[in-house]
Amino acid sequence: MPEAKNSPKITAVQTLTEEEYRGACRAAADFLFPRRRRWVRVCLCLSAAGLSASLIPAALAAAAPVWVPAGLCGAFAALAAAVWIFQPVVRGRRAGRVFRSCPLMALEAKLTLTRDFAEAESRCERFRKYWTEFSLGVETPRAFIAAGAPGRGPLIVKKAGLSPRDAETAVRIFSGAFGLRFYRTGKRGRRRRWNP
Amino acid sequence: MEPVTVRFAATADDAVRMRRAQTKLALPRAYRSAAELFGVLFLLLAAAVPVFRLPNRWAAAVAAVCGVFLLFLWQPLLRAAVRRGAQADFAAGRFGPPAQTVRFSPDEVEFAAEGYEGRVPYGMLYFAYEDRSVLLLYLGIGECRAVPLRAMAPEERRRVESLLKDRMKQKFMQEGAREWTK
Repeated sequence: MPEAKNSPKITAVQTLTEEEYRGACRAAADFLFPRRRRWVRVCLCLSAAGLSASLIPAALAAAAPVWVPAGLCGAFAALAAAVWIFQPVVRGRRAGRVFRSCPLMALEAKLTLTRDFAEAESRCERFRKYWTEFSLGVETPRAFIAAGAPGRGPLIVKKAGLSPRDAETAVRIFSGAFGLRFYRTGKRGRRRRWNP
Repeated sequence: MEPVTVRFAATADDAVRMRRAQTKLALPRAYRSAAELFGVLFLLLAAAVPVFRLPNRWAAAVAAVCGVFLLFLWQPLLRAAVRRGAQADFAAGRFGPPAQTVRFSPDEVEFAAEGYEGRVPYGMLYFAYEDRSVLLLYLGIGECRAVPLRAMAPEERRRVESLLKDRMKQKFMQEGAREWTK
């Protein structure tokens, strides 16, 4: 079927760095797996610590050993601190390892975004991914990210290589492709709508 | 050297074989042997309680259950789960396009499938693994392209093996090999 005349289309040439890939993976993972977000896990640990602490008066009243709930409370609090400190480090290292394992990701690539698909072309490969293959889209202050497709990691379109007009077109494309599954980070407020 | 071209359409069985090979990679023989060893130890522990008239009967029962699970149930259950997951993924289209062409040239591997074309030098491949039924070519962690060996003639298979051994050296691994292929 021929492409519609006024369908949005942008082209960008970019080279990804490991730092950008790490940031994009972190943003995508927050929306792909909301229950694995750092603050969700920390809140769970702190709730468990609070629950353990609430058992201390009961232990005192029953003349039971206090060190059991106190120890549990301390352990959960320590776990919360460890999750808060180490989760981003571990995730970042994992994403970095993935990026370093695939030299194809670091090649300069020409990206073409259309209403229906994204196409990437580098000196070693050319692939086309339809938006329906992805689970969701994310806009961060630095990039547009489409995530959740099988195979390689998220598709990342750096904003640095886009003109303001192209960035606006990218927002329209992502909004149209993902609808309510298009999320934004770094800017609180209303969700952008398709064809405002 | 003349390139080897492999054309195939992957089936659900190929998907299962590919997943099975990936599982073998993720769980090397040493891990499986360790699980079996722990299973035997648990069973011995469970048997020691009645033999030596020790008091902890519940602990012995738990140890017996753990031993039986590790020794007899864990690996068959894992294989069944892998098979079921692979079939479900294939049915859902998560294995990518079934029809593919892979061409092993002296300097690079060429992939051609619906929506993907690549000419990847051997040095850019993350690693390759071959078992009795499938050849896995990893472009990176978590990104794998499978070539069913049934799509190759024995002579072609020998040529591909020697090419991969020569170009990828330690990054080419074969099932049953005691160490990385030199």
